[in-house]
Amino acid sequence: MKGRQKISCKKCRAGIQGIFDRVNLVSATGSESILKFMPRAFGEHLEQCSECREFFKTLTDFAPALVEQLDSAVHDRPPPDLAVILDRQRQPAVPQERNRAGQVIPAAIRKTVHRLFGPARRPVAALRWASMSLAGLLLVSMIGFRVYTSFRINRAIEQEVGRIIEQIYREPLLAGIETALVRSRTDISDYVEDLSRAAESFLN
Amino acid sequence: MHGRKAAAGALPNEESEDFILIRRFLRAGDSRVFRTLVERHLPSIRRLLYTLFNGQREEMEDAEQEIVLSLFQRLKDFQFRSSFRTYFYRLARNRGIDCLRKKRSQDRTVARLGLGLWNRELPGPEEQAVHREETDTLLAVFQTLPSKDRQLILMKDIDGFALNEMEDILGVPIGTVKSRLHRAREKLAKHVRGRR
Repeated sequence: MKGRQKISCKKCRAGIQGIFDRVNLVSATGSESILKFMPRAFGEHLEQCSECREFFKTLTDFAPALVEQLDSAVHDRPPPDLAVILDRQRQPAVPQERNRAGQVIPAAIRKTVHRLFGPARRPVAALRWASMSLAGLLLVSMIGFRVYTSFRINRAIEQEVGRIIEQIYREPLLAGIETALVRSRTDISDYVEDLSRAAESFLN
Repeated sequence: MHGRKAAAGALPNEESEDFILIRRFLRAGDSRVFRTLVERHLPSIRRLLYTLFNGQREEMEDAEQEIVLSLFQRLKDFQFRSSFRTYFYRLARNRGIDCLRKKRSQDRTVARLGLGLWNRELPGPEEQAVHREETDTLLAVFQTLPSKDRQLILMKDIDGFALNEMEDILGVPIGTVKSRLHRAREKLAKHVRGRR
């Protein structure tokens, strides 16, 4: 940039873009007609700054040229055959939409599946992932809590049963049986001794 | 020229013509009226598809059929609150992106299975010459830009949508549309300068 300039290149380009935002570049007839919309300071800057001039000229010239090239690239074929498309529309639902029983899957389920897994733009997809992750996290934590609680209960029951069994073994149900047995054992031996003595005297 | 007419943007009377055609179609279900309605906006839709699909003809034709079918199915829900041109363009863009995603996923599957190797044909010398010639055009320079930038330039500078219409089509705030568009134009100017 040389010479006296009242506006900067940045400001000039922003101004040019602002004009392009308001006018239709295809219907505008060349750069001169667009220059009319611009304040004099921009025109003066463009006269002095070759880079901004080139920027302005590139953007004013490209649209009419591009539209011609695009149109020649796409308009060499006939419009879509509506009869064929309408025939496709009349065809029955695709097989994937039927379940094993041959019944049509309810539209609500299909819509839900489509909403969850169908193609979507980035913010929608991000929202889906976030909500599905949150739901998954909640589900996992709920299941985890349930498993942990049942594990704790089972463990408490096992401990209680063990304690009761231990107590049973520690205190036998027929308390005093051993002494009774010992006492009865001496009684029997006395009886056997008396019996043998009586038998001996009878034989003698 | 039809393309030029469409590129000049939707004038209020063009919009009302669209509304008349839609009402006629909804009343009588006449497919010729529907065809007329579609053909009025077909040039801008085709330009959009060319931009989305990088000029791949088969994909463009498939997407075009999907779009027309989708419009046929949804036209009964049109509320007459916004411009039909914006409505149709938004529908076409969304369906086009859906088709593109589907195609990319199919391509990935083919690539994963290694099937692409069998179908690939190497270009001959004539094709290479044509390709070299094609890359010198402004259209080729335009196609080197990222898809989002191309769409923005196409919508504003070629098809003449207003910024508020672009906000409606793209679903982003007007300030974002403006800043992205300005960046896209800067890139385009840089690319064009680089080719000279």
